[in-house]
Amino acid sequence: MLADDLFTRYAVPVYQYFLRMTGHADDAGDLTQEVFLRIVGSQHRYEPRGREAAWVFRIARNVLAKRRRSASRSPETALADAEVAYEPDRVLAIGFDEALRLLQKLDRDVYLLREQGGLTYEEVAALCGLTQDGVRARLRRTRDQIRRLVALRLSDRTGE
Amino acid sequence: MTVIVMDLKYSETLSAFFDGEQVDAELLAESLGQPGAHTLLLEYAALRAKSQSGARPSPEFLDAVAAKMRQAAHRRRWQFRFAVVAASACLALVAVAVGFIWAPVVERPAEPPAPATAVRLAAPALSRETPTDLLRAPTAAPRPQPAATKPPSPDRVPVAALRLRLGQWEESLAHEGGEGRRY
Repeated sequence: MLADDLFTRYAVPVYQYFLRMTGHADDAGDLTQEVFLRIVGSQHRYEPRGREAAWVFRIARNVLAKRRRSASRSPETALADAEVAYEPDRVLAIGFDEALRLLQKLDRDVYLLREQGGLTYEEVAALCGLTQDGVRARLRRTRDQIRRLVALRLSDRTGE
Repeated sequence: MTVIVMDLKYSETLSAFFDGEQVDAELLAESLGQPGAHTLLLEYAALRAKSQSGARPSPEFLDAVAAKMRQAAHRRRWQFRFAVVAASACLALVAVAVGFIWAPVVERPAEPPAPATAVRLAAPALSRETPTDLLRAPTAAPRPQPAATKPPSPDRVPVAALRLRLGQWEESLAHEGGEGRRY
């Protein structure tokens, strides 16, 4: 079955995408489940025109947008809860996730769709309503911001 | 992570190259020749590794979602079958309803239009032959009709019969008395 195959390949990337977009592990789990239940319900409409990853992450973005519309809790308030799920010795990882949190929502989305989902610039542009040049520029800027933020975080923690 | 200062066009080219996108070869060569380009690519790789090595969902969670997906797929199959049956039933009902609505109209003969022109034809010589007669084989001989026998009228006895009776009477007289004729 297509849905089973997609679940095997994309459950973890989708979960991590949601975890980094919402900052909350429970929300990430709920959203991941909703995505794959939607896939079960709509897999007969799937047309393999593009890549499966783009289709899966389009559904993921739609599910997230719907949840954001209906949720009263903001991702920023849930960040403290999400940090509990991480291992304490992964200082760099925490710094990376905090750096992601400080990005603009669209920049974070673009970055995660590229890095987590493996989508091409064209696919990211189609999903986010941007041009390919816009995606290219945003990714470069986002990477620079993350690098600076992580370097800043590391220097804060090490007292440099 | 080190902060590398590089022209935007070079860092953007390196970023796109790192993502496997199409870049200008000449610009890429220039970008790779910039100081810090090697470090920048390594840092991009480190960021990607961190992006893809975040917290993972627990196996129990994945098993639970997979089980729900199987249930949903099973439910969906039955919903699909039910929908097909319901749609077929609705179609049949509609067909029957349409039949009931339209059938009387179809069966009711339409009124013939009023004649606009009356054509009077000369009357042909009517044949007395009935269609049954016409259908009969011409070679078949007409069946002879039995002669009609009229029953004798009681008040009108034929002369021959009277003579016969008279002869009988005379014979009886002669036999009884032997007398001759008295008349």
